[in-house]
Amino acid sequence: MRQSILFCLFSVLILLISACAAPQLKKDDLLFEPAINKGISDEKPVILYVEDFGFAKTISNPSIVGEAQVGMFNAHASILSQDPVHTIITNQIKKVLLKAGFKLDEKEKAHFSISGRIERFWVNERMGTWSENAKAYVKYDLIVKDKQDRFIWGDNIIGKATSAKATDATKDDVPTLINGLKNSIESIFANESFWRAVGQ
Amino acid sequence: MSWFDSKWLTKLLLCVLAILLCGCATYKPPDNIQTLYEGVSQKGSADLSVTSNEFEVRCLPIINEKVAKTNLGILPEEFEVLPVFLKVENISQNPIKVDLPNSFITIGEKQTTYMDIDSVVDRIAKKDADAAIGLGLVFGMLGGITGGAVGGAVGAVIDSSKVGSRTVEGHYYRQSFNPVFIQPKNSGSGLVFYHLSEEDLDCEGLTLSIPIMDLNTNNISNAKFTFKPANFKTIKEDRK
Repeated sequence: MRQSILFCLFSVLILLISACAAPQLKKDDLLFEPAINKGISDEKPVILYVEDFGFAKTISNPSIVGEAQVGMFNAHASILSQDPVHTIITNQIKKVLLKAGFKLDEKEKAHFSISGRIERFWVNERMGTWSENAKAYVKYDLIVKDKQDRFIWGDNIIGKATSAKATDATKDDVPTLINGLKNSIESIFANESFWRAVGQ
Repeated sequence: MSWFDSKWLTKLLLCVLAILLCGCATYKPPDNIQTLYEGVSQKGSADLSVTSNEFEVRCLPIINEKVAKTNLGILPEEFEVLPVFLKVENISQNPIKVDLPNSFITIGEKQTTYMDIDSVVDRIAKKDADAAIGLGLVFGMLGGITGGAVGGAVGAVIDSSKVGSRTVEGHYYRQSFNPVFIQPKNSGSGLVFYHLSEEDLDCEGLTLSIPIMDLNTNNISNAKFTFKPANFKTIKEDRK
């Protein structure tokens, strides 16, 4: 009798502990491919230099990318990222620029330089009475300058994403954040004024 | 007949529900930035401006409760935010950037920060959830099973009927300050928010500093506005 009670208690404890773990944004989660339907031709190569992105004061810790509500009592837990947010966005932007046919090189050899600053890279859960969902918001500046360091193009890039309603949205936190990031990157390459500025 | 299934209690609960629903229907977000600007720039409201060789900045802090409730659907004090309608005109030859994340408010020795629209919406949403859960509990305690059911329904109404954050969310995103990169002879306008605690509203004076960067020379100028929030808590019409 005592053994079965102990077994039950132990199982409940394990369940509670496992339910309390916040998800983590891992490097593998970032292996997505944004959809872009325009590119630079090989005949007229455009060389870019991408500076490491910075982050604004609104980001207090670049390794915390959201807040999950975990366990039976919806305790708040930080969602951590293996890489800081500025590294994530710099790498993603570089990856997609290469995919679009741009060449990346040192500043001296580049036609244009690209820089940016991240304002928000965040996912959290919105609680309803019966259900909840994950909501992500990604926002950063992107600035393109020419060889003479003159401003060519700039925009405040925004990517939003919301998951479907569920009884527990925690599992959707990281995928929703990735969707927000993906949407933000796709919006740059869908913007005609960006292509007019750097397309040569 | 037990007290919780008597007709009067059901009627009372339905009345409360009706009042809540009526309350939900009173806020109609302004259609566009121009309507919002007209709504917040009433006679007697704070209307401050700064002009330099490069830019003209107009700043309208939304402090009056009536103006805030009508145009933003919230009482800013409740959420410890200071909404500001901002209009920046670039009168220089170079493109400029309004550096909102680096803008701030100084009150004496204290500095409070700019809040992204997403954080503001989250702050409002947090209270929605609290209100829904709270009301569900209150009704549950009042009326046992019947009350619990009504409480659940009220919670569901609050969850889905566009009260609070869900109503204001799209409106705030759409009418947030835009664009932050402003070409010569163009302008940007819209809402920005700062953290401001309730007691700070009674301060002797605060200074809002907004850095504006020339994107070709990288020079940064600060547009500064000093005012006493309490002076704009009520406007002439309210005082009558």
